[in-house]
Amino acid sequence: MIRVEGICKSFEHKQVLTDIDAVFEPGKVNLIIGKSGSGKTVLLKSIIGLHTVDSGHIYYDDRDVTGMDKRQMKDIRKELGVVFQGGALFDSLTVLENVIFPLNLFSSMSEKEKVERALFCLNRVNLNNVESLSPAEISGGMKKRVAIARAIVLQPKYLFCDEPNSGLDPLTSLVIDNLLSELTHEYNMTTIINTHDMNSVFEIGEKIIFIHEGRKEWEGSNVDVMHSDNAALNEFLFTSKLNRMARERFNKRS
Amino acid sequence: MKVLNRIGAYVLFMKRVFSKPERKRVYTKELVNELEKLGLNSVVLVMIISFFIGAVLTLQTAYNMSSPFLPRYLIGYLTRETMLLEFSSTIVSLILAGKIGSNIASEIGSMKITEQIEALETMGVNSASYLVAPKIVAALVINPVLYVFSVFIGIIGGLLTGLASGVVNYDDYIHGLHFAFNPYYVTYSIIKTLFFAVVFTSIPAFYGYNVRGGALEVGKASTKAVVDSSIAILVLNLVLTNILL
Repeated sequence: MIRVEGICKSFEHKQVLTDIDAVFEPGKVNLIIGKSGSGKTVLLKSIIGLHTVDSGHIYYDDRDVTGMDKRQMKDIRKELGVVFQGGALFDSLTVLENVIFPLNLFSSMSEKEKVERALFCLNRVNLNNVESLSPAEISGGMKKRVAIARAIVLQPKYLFCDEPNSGLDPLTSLVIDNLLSELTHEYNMTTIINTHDMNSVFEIGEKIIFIHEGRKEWEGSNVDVMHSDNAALNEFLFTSKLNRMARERFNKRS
Repeated sequence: MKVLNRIGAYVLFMKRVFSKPERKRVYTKELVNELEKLGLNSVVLVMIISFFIGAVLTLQTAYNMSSPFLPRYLIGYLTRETMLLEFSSTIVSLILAGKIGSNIASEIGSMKITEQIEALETMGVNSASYLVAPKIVAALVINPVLYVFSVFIGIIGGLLTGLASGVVNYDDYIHGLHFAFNPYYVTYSIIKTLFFAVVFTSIPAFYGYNVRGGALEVGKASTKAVVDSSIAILVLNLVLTNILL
């Protein structure tokens, strides 16, 4: 479980996050949603530790990471996997070397065991026979899957994904969403996904936190979203005719 | 003020670069890669340039020696002195600042804008140290080697051209190479190459690491890196020459 309390963050006098409280539950797909520039990426990067917060606390299973030094934080880092927006695969390494990279840093496995573990993870994200290719030789969807394989190679307790569907076609987005959902339940991870993909919200959002102008505006599940009377959330989610129709049909059925 | 800020940021960056590495094994692998990338890939360029500069130095010296009282062995002597003192240390380092410097700035800059550096940080890797320290160490190893190589090839280039054009004979040229040789000049030049190696790797790395934005900014950082490292090499050359000679 990850809990954030009273998180505030500003950049050069511009307040980006104001007093955010949230609980991200284990074994569930937790989504942070919001418009571009609403502060959701800053929130995610603050939780990961890439930004230092101005005030507030971040707890990883009751371990407050806001006051931790690098050495203490290193133990936490072994337990987290991150999937960046563009995959952030290392260009100079092959697909297999990319997946092995965290093992080289944190595990005492033999080279053979590392290769086996990396191939298992690649297989788990439905990638076969790509291990010797470089990131430049694979498609955007494959890059995301390699990034997911790299993120899960250490069997993390916490998985973070920054807009995993950006730049992907709807079908590939669905594959990625389902994969993240399956892995979350399979490994009982606390998964936090930062997205503005509506399909993700409706399909896999077991817990959703809506950030609006740097504040937590709403929280609930993908079912609650359909009944929400929050104006900012409704404007964000149901501006498109298609989404409005989907809500009407859902509400009629229920 | 802006310059002072930049120097301060550079010093802090270098402090991060030389902080204690977490996993030495990973760094060793990177060091081997960098030795190949920075060293072996520059050997051919250094060979070609040194050969032709040595050749041209021989011809220019010969054509400027109109007085019959000037001994022909001065051709070999001047070629050696120029290669040894200035060309193979300073000019080759300036060339490497262009070749390697732009490469380092754009490589690290691209990693920055594609979140690869953030990915390293989330894995608990000191990205500055992991990405930059092996490059600096590799350049410290390879630059003196390239210097020796450049002097050798330059002198051979001068000899072959001198013989082919008939401006100097073999004995005179070899006599010139031995004439008034001061071994300290080699030490002085090797010390310079060590300083230049740090400059042409760390300054581009600093610019690449601090890129913000997109591909355009990576290009700008690459240009700035080459300009600033070239200026730093020229200034350091002056300072070190004053101190060491």
